[in-house]
Amino acid sequence: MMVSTRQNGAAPTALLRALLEGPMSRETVKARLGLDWRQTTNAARSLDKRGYLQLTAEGKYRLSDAGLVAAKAGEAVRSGPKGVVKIAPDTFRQRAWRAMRARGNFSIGDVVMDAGRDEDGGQPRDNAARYIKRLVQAGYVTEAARRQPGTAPSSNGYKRFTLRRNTGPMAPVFRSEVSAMHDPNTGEDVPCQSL
Amino acid sequence: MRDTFVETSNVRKFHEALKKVDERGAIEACLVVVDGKPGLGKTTTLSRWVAQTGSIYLRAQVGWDYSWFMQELLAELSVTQPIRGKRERFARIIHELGERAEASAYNGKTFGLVVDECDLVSNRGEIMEAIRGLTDIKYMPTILVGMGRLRENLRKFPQIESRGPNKAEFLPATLEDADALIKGRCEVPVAPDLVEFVWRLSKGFNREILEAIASIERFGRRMEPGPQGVSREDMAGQIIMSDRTSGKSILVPGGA
Repeated sequence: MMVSTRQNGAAPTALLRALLEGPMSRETVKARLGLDWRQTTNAARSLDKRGYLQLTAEGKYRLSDAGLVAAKAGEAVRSGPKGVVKIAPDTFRQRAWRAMRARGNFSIGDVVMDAGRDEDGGQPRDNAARYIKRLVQAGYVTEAARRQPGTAPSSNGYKRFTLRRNTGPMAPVFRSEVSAMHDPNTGEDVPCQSL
Repeated sequence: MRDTFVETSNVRKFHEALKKVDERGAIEACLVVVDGKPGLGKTTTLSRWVAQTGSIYLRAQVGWDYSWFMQELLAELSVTQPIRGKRERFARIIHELGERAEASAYNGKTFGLVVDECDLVSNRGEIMEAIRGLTDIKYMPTILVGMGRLRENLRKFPQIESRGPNKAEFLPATLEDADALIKGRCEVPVAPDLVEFVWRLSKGFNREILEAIASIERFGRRMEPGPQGVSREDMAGQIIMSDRTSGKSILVPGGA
């Protein structure tokens, strides 16, 4: 059953109904409802906030007594106001930013090693290189003067970087329309200078 | 060198310590102490774990006191507006940590707090007690990372020591670890005799093994290695790594 995620509260409502059949793993919920990982988690949290959901010892989702009553009554879940807690999304660039903050000094390879996941697909190295380039242009990251020697005969060596502006846990996001990094930690747009 | 994260016995030990926290023989036993000499892969392991789980990472500073620690923690939780009163700040931290732990649980991940360079503050009662307080309230895995003095200093706090039975001491790599690291990261095949040589001369330090991998790759890309890969004989007379105590280059013996 595919759920329209554009409709307000559709995913948590569908999850509430689906769990009437019994506990389900995240993977099953994701596949059954046609959601991505983030939508699956958000739907579960939405039910949890209402006291409708519990986690089993094996990490499966299961309805609480209140959840069972709500599901049987055919309750439709509507999204409420967003809370004040800012939780960073689980994207490749967010993980890359976390890795940069933990390491302080790093190469592109270090960031890919820390942030990469099999499920990312695509070209994580290219993605990391583009992201770091934007961070350099906006002054968050500086390039070391000396490169780490490469191993291929034609290699110019590997660049090393240092995080200079560690403004907080949320990853700055590139805004192409204004050519700036939007920093969710400070709320400001930092222009990217061509190097 | 490949950008691959290789799971060595130290990484497995770290994950086992976390698993014990998850299983929780004692509900308050949520502290994990990670220690070991520099160059054994602590930073790499913790950096990946933090990046993957979205856990909070704090690096202790020499001048930390209770207020500075709490302020750093609030900043890591994206709470930027000032909060008056110790009690209010503590309550906000508990709320923020709880929300994140819950989101992670529904995401099938473990959320925790990492305090790196913890040796620097492990003799400060107020900070260590604050960490214990947070851990006890949220039953949240808290990973204290240090080098030599951490375990010793924690013994001064019986209340904390009793909560930290999960210890992961990072030890020098075994031959199997060195082999896995070389196979996983080196882009040219390496013969077993050279793997054994690297392991012995590196004394099991990942940092030196990685330096050797770069040297082997540089050499191996300029020659046609045999069926087993680049061997000791192939690299005879070549610099393979530096000695961490003397700083002198280590050459592969043999050759002219």
